[in-house]
Amino acid sequence: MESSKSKLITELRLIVPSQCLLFEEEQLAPYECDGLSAYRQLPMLVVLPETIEQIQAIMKLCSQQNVPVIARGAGTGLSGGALPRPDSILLSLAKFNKIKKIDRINQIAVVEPGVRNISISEAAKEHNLYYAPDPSSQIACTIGGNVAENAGGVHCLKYGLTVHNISSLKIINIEGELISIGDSGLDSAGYDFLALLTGSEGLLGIIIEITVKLLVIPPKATVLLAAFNSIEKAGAAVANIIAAGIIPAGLEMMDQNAVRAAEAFAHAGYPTDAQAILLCELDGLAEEVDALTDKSYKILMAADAVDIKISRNDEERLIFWKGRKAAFPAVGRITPDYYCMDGTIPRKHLAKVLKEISRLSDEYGLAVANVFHAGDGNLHPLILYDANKPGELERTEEFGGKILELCISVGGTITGEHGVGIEKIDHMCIQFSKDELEFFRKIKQVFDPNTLLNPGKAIPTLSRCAEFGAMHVHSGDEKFPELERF
Amino acid sequence: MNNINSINTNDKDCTEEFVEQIQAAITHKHCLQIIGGNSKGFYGRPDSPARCDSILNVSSHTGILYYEPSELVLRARAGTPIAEINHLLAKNRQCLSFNPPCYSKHTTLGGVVASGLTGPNRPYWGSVRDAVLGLQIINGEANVLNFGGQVIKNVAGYDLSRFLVGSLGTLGLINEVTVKVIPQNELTRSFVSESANTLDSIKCISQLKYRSLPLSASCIHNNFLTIQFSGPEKLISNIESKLDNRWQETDNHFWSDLRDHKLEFFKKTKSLWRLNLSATDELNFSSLKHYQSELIEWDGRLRWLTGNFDESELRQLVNKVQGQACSFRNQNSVNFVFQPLSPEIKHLSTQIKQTFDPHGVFNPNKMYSDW
Ligand SMILES: Cc1cc2nc3c(=O)[nH]c(=O)nc-3n(C[C@H](O)[C@H](O)[C@H](O)COP(=O)(O)OP(=O)(O)OC[C@H]3O[C@@H](n4cnc5c(N)ncnc54)[C@H](O)[C@@H]3O)c2cc1C
Repeated sequence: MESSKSKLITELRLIVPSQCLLFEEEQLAPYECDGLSAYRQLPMLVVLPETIEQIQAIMKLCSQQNVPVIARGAGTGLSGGALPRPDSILLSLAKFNKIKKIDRINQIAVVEPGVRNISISEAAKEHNLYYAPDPSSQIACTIGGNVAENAGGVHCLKYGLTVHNISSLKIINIEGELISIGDSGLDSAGYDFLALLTGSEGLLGIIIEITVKLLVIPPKATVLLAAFNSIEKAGAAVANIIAAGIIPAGLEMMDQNAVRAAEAFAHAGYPTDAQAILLCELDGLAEEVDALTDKSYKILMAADAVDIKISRNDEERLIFWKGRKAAFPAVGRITPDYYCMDGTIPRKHLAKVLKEISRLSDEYGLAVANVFHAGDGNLHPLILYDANKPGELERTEEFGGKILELCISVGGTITGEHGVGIEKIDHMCIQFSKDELEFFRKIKQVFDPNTLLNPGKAIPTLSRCAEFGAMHVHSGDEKFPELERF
Repeated sequence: MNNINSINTNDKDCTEEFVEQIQAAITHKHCLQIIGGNSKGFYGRPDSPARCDSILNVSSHTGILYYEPSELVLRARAGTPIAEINHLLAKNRQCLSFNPPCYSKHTTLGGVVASGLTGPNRPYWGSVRDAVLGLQIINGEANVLNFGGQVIKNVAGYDLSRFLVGSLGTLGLINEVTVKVIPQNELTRSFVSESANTLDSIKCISQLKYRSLPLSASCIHNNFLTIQFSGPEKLISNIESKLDNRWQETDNHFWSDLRDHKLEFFKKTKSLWRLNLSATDELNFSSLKHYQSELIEWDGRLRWLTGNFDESELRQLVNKVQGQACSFRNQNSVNFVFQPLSPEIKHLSTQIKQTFDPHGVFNPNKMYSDW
C-alpha cells in the first residue's frame, strides 16, 4: 500500500500545488472523523483542489487507479458520511468558497460548494434576501454538504428542505466529466436529476456549483415561547396549531433535560422547571404576524401552557432561538459524550414514542435529552454517555438502534435530515426491502460502476444486511406491537 | 377521523392486475401505454402511443388510503381523480399546494405526478415534485417498490420518489402517491393593471415581492398584469390599501381558467409552446417568424407561446438563457418535443431507463426518441 500511496502522491503533484496535498499523519489527523466522532479513521491522503479542472483530473486519476474518493465539506455531518477509509482520498471542497453571483430579480445565488450556509444569507442581506434552510450548524457547515445531505433546519416546516431551495447544480462524476443539472427555469427537461443528487451523500458525484433560491427577508418575525408541564400537552399543542391552518416558520420542542442544558449554556430565559417548551415562530407582514401570533397564543393557552412569552423585538427573538440553536453543544457540556438520533415520525405518535424512549432510557441506564423539529415530526433524542466507560458506546448504539426501529414501526423513517452515512446503514435493512435496496445499488452503478465514490456508506449491501440479521419491519413482524400504526 | 370517511365503496386496488399485465408484457416482449384520466394524452411525443401493443389503464385503481389533516399528509391510489382529492381536502380547509392543471375532470393523481405539471402558484407554493413525500411504483420487472415515506422529512435512500415526478410513465407505473398538503388560505383576491411591456411587468412583480406583499400568482398577457394575493383574512381583506390606484379587482376564476387552459389564449388551436427560463432575460420572442401571441406565468419564468415557429430558431433563443422549450400542444412535426439533453444527461437518462425498465415495457419514446 505504501508504494501505491507514493505513486499516487507523485501523480497528484502533477495535478495540484504541493500545499494542496496532505499525507503526513499529523496533517491527516483533523480529517479522521466528522461530527460523528465515535468513528475515526485516517485517510490515505487529503487533497484540497483549487480549480474545477484539478477536481476533474483527480477524479480521472482515481478512477483509473481504482482509488475511492470521499468528499468533505466542513465535516459537521452527524452520520459519518465524510468518514475516511484507509485506502481513500479525502477530497476537501474547502477552497471552493466563493459566492459567484446574486440575481435580485430571479432571487437566486450561484455559489461554490465550500461556501458556509450562513455566508449566503450574510451576502444576500444587502439585497434584503436570505437563504431559508438553516441547519443549527449553519455557521460551520457548507452548502455542498447541505445538498449532499438534503439538510433541514428549524425553518423548514414553512420553507422546505435543501431540495426545495436549490434550482440547479454542477457536478463532476467519477470519470471527471462535468455535468450540468437543471437549467434557468423552474422546471427542467427530462428526469429530475436535481432531486436524485440532493441527499445522495457523496455517492453519485462531487457537487461543485449550486444555484440556491433566495427569499425576501420577512419584515416581521415573532417567537412565542410556551412552557408545559407535560410532553403530551406540548405535543397536542403542536397538532392543534397545524390543524388550525397555521404553518409557523418554525415550531420546535425541547424536553426538560434539553431545556436545562440549553439554559445553563445560552441564558435564553427558558423556564427550567417546565417539562417541555415550544418555540413557535411566525413571520411575514406585521398585520399577518400579529394576527397569527394572537391565534397561536390562544391555541397554546387552550392547550394548557403554563407560561407563554412573546418576543417583543428581534433581539429578544434571537435570544429565544439562541438556546435552541445551541442545544447540541449545550448538552455536550453536561456529558462527556452524546449520540444524536434523527428519526422522523408522524406527529400524532409523539407522546407514545417519547414514553417508549424514556422506558428504554431506564432500561439502558442512559439519560436522554430530547430536541425536536416538532412541526415536522423530526426527533433528535440525544443519548448521554461516556465513551471512556467500557461498553457504554456499544450500549448507546444499541439503544439508538431501538429508537430507529421504533420510528419505523410507527410509520416514520430512520433519518429526517442527518443522512444514513455509516451510522444508520444497518437500519436501512429494516426500512427498505431487499428489492428496494438492490434497486438503490443499481442506481449507484449508473453513476459509479466501480463503487469508488464514498463506498460503504448510505446504501447497505445485501450481505451486510444478512450479517446484521435485520428483517424488513414493514412486513408484519412489528417490534413494538403495543403501538398503534397505520 | 378522515381515514374512515374517505374510504369510498368504489375504491379498488388493481395492483395485482397491473403486475400481471406487466409480467405478460415482459413475456411477450410487448410495450404498454400507461393512461390515467387521459386528460393529457396530447402531452409528450406523438409517436409514442403507436409503438405500444396495449394500454395499461390506471384510472380504475382508485381510493384515498390515508388522510390525516393535522399531519398534512394524504396517500391515494394513482387513479384517484384530483377532483375527489380536492373535494375531501376542501372539507378540511386544506388543499394541494401544487394546484395541478385539470384539462378534464378525469385528471388523476397519478397522471399529475407522472407529468409533473404544476399550476399558477408554482413560484410561491412549490411544484408537484416538491410536495411528493413517497411513491409506490411497479417497475419494468413487475416489482412493487416503495420509495420515500409518509413523513415530511426523510432522507433515507436516494430520493427516487421525487426523481420519478415528471418522468411521463417512462420509468415505471406510479401506483400510489403520498403528498404533503397545505392549509387553504383564508382569503384570495385578484387584481389587474395595464402594463407597457413584459419587462415592466416582471419588474413590478419583483417590487411587490420585495415589499413582502402576500403574492401567490401572476400572469402577464396582452399588456395586462394580473396578480393574486392569498393569506389571512385580516390582511387580504384590506390589501388594496397597499396598492396604488391603477389596480382593479378582478375575478378569482381567472386563475382556474388559466390553470386549466380555458382562457381564450389557449382555445385557439395552433401550436402551443411551453418555455421554462429565467425572468431577467430581454429575449424578444415577437421577433420570431410566425409569432402569434404570448402568455407569461410564474413571475416571468414560464412562457406560453403560440405560432408555427421554426423549432431550431426558437431553441437557439431559449438556449441563450439556459432555458428550455417544450412543444406542448399540436406538435407541428417537431424533432424534439422536449428540449434536447446534453450528451452527459442523455447518457445517464438512457441508463436510468434501462435500470427501471430493462425490457422497455413502458411508454416507449414518450419523452425522447432514444428510449
Ligand atoms: C451542532 C450541529 C448541529 C446540526 N444541526 C443540523 C440541523 O439542524 N439540520 C441538519 O440537516 N443537519 C444538522 N447537522 C448536521 C450537518 O451539519 C449537516 O448534515 C450538514 O449538511 C453537513 O455539511 P458539511 O459541510 O459539514 O458536510 P460534511 O460533514 O463534510 O459531509 C457530509 C456528507 O456530504 C458529502 N459531501 C460534502 N460535500 C460534498 C460535495 N461538495 N459533493 C458531494 N458530496 C459532498 C460527504 O461525503 C458526506 O457524505 C448538525 C451538525 C452539528 C454538528
